[in-house]
Amino acid sequence: MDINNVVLSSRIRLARNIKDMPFPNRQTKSSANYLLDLVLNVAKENLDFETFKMSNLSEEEIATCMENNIISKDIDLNYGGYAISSDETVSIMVNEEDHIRMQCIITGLNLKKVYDIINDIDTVLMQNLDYAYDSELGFLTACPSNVGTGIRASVMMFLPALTISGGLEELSSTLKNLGITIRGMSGEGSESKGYIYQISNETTLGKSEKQIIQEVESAVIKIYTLEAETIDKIKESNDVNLFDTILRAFGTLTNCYKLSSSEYFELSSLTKLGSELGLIKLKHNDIFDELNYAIKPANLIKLSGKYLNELERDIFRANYVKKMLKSEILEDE
Amino acid sequence: MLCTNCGNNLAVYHTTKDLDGKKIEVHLCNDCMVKQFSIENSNSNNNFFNPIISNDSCKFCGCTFEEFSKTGLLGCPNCYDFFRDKLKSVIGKLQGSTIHYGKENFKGITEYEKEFMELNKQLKEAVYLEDYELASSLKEQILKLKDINGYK
Ligand SMILES: [Zn+2]
Ligand SMILES: [Zn+2]
Repeated sequence: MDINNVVLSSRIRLARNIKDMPFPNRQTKSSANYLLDLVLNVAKENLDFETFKMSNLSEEEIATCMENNIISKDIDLNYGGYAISSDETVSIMVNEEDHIRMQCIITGLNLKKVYDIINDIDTVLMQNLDYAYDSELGFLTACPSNVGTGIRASVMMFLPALTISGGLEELSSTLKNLGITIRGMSGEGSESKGYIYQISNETTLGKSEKQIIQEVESAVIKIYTLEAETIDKIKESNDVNLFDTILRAFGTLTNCYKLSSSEYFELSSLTKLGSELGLIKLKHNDIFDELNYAIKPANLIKLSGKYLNELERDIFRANYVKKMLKSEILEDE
Repeated sequence: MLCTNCGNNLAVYHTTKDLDGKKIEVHLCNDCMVKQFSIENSNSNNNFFNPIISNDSCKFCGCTFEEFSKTGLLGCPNCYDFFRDKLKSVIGKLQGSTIHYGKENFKGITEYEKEFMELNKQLKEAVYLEDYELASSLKEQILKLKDINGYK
């Protein structure tokens, strides 16, 4: 099995702050506005990024940005803002938990490349801003859990076999001892409905960025190997009930009248597992990566070109997914 | 660079001040910075900070250690100076280390300060690892470095 079927994306986030300025949780109006203008200006002038203030964006625009992971839910909606590179792989949030949270996301497993990109951006900002830095503790952050490198290196993985087989519990405690966290992305705690998990470093001090990235990458490769082994076991098991559940999920996904996003995630994950098990044959294995974004509320409204209420969205989603998947099915000769 | 106020310690805080229309550079050590800001905040019209200063709060932002314990968030970067010892024990538990080994910020720092910081960090690490032989040799190196650069 190809590692790209298991690894969805690599992301690195750096947390930075400006010295002698209160952190966002203690900002006054004037310090928040000053900081927003300061950072956005540097991003515009020195990086040629496009910049936005949250106060100028509509609710829908904000929702789309959040769905596309350009900004997070913790951004200050009155005094926050963001800057984004022309290829949209790098974004810089201003006034979230820290003054600056910059991130780079690319598909597949390549944290080193992601770090090279974000490190260059950080160096430009560092030359043009006065970062809060301490020779002993490193880059200072609002929460001490980020102090030092301020780095969070994370990889999104699709792990249906390990989830179904129940192997994740044990894995997660093994990883914890290595300083690696595994978090379910659409469910509570370590359970994840869409079988999508985020693997990331837990600590930011006492190690170099390179070391942290290497640790995360080697954990990802270990998890991938385990997932591939578990897939093979499931294939051999001839688990009739599981295979039936998978094909019924695919049937529903391609033949329903309305489809909520949580139902979509459940059914599409089972379908994807079916394609990995060879039960369902699709032309492109990454079709769901595209669909995962397209079916979110704000993106659907964009696709349809008009406002849709919840029920209308569920109907539009069902049709869209049906259309996209029907053209993906490989007919047996 | 040494503190422009007392001349005894390495300056950690750098700023400029307007004095009768002239810009004056100010470099303060940790101790002088704390004093300076308690005075400034008592008669301040600086609207960036809006602190209620008490004896045990950060003199920049007014954050207390109790508040931090509740929210998990500090009020400003200078809180790390004010609560350094208490914070370091929290950070040690949280992170398993209190020493930064990653990318460094050398902006506006002289070669001497760079070297001083590097040796100081190695010294802290040696003490942390209880390697007292290495620690005492590092202490000597620091004294020598200070001596060569005309610092006591
Ligand atoms: Zn002094
Ligand atoms: Zn403070």
